[in-house]
Amino acid sequence: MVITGIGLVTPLGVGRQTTWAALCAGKSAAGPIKQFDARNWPVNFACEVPPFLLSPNAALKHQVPSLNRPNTFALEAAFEAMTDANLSGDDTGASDRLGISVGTGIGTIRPQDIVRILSGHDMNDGADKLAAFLEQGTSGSDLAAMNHPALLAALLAERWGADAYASTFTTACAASSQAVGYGMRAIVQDDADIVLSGGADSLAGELLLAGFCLLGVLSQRKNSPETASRPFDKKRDGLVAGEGAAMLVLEEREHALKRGAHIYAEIKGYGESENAYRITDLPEDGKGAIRSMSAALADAGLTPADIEHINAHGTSTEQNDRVEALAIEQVFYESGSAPVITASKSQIGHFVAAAGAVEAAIAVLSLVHQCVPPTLNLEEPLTGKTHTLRFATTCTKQPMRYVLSNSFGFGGTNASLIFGASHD
Amino acid sequence: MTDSVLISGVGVVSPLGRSMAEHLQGLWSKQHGFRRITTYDTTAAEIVYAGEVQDLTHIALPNRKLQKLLNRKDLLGIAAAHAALLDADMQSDGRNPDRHGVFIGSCSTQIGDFIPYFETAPACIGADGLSFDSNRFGRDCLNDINPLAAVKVLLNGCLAHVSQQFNIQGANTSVMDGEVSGLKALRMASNAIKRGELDWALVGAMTAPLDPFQMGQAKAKGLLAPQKGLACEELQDAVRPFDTAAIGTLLSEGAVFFVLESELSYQRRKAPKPAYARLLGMTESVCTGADKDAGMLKCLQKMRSHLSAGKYAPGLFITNNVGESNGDNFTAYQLMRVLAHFPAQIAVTNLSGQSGYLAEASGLLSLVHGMSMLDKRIALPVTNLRESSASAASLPLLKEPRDLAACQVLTANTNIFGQTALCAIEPL
Repeated sequence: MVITGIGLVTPLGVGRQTTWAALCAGKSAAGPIKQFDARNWPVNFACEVPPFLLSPNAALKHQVPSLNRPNTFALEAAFEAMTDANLSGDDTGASDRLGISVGTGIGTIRPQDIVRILSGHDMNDGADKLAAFLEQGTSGSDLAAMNHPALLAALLAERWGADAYASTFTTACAASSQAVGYGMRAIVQDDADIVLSGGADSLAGELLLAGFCLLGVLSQRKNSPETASRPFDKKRDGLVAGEGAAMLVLEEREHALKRGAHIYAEIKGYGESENAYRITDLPEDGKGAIRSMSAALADAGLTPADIEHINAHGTSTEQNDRVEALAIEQVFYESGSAPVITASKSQIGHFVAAAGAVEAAIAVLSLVHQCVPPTLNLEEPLTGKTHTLRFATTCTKQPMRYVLSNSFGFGGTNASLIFGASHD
Repeated sequence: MTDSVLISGVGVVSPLGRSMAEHLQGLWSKQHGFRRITTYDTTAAEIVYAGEVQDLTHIALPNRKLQKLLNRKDLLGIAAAHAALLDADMQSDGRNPDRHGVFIGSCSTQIGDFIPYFETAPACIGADGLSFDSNRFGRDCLNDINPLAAVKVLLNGCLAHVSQQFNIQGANTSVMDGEVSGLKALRMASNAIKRGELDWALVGAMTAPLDPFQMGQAKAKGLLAPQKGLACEELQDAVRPFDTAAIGTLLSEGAVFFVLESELSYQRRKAPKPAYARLLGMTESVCTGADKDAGMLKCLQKMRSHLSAGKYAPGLFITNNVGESNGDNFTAYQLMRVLAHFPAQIAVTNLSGQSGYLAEASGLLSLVHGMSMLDKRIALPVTNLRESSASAASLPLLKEPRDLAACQVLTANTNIFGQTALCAIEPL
């Protein structure tokens, strides 16, 4: 199973090359929120995607009015990935061998959208009047449709003629890693020859940002946004909201070779687990993360010693990083392996449902370039129980054959992907 | 690795009953599940009836403290999941939790779930009634919102709660693809078992559309049967799939969960009761081009090509359209294209007239109905079908109960995006 196309839309730029260059240059995308007036919010900064124009062929003409912010990112990333894989020609009509597998979130419903729905209703009236008002169904249908989690898969299927299958994963921060893992399996079980897989989300809009403010998981470093996301640093105080999309073209190896496609890397293994623990917390012993990474190793037929680099989930929250470091130490360092760890969220923030696919794409680019981008702001790294963990604090050149990417979702789903260097 | 996957436990929470036994009793005694809505105040509303699950307080939840964290869909899902585990006698099976999985086909969090966020914020709405002062909202109103509101809108809430409550730690996911979600979750779980990753998995789907916003959207789309002036008893024949007098449907809520298990696991644990059925096969397709009615046909062709020769012999097909003319016609057109792939004696039925529109959960519910009909050896007719509509006139729709020999039962769902999932089960 191989990867033949990559598309990225991130706060560091539109396009995989722009993003990769900024990652290696150690840039932070964090800054004051621009998409709404957040001056006096408890948290008023995020990593936002810069304004861009959707490529003319990224979406069908009739799709454009129905695109919300993350779906716009996704269609652009998909266009880049499909073009990269040389699959965007005019002769690529509907195919029963092309599938779609994406991770999505709750969309970007804005307060003014809710206000529009409620427009004309007096909020001082009772619940009976509100119910009667809403059931008139006079507004909001476009809002509901635009933000339905399944819409992205449908848009992509229609745009690219993907008639094999289309799946939408909604397991929060693990969603798009699951989308890639299940995309790989769809090819293995002969549901498709090619799967366009990835995810899109935005945590930087009012609604999700309000939710994360309420949960108390955002960094409070208002005066220094660029130093706020500091995964695995002892002075970390929470995550930084991000947004974006990543799409990968997964392909059966022989199929790719036959059509002369450029192969970035192999997708070697996928593992998943459930914490079965408190909905907002991780088990302190890291058992869910350990099982997920172990399952991916088993699926790939590899040992811990084979993994030279880990793109960690690394959210910059107190608990995630402590537990993930413990799990990595137990699976890898305890068995004598010492993979270099990095956390891309230090540069681009947390994309929630899109985080897994973005970090998987970065892990693949790390393999291609034999270079690990840095974890920013890592001044006092967490130490393992008995081992010193190796973090990349600068762009680190090193030979790598296999890399692992982690995603741990709010709600308990853990997913790990392993990629191998291409030999072609 | 195993090729044989069984349904060894079932949990149903529906408008017809809060257990599988209650649901099936209602089904076979020709009751309907429609009643006055109590989940919100309908005093001033036009839509006052729906398929509402009655009195959830009587449902045995493992942890009552959970209720404040749960939205309606998650509450329904946990109740059905608990029932399925009890039914399969899995409640005390604490061994190897990483060999047990959860696969959920969920409905989406609804726009209405976010309205509480903004009920605190009338001062942020501009004089024009449309603009919104985001800065003021963040400064003055956020602290008035219950932080649990953020947890309640999680798309994967049911998965998180079910895995936590029942200590299930293996392969898992939550998918959201409209009406195909339930069957899609079933397929993913079946594949995980066949790959040898799991001994068993909880598979479920739930839907909870009974809020005024969704009612309004359904009404605006013309999905709902008119209710004005009707008494509840008159809803008995309101939903009429494939009938020439079909005038729309009623929205319903509910959840259906299965314990899906490898035959090896089932035998090894010496399960105390017979399994319900064997999962024969499942396929998916998407129709993105002009040929929109081809989804079922493509699924059937895939299924036939995947099954070994002679293993494909369906005797009953259960459709999931709900008495709304566009959906009924679409299903009829799809069925017309697959008739050539059916044996001559196949029966086609639809029981939505009793349970209403259960969206994401409808595919799994049809499998429950199929298992019950196989058990009783009787195929139930299409509910409320007196005269077939023009589009359905040449379909082999059942108008009377018919004896049913042991046979394969098929069901299929198509969502508004053109995605279709097809599932076949067979008796053991």
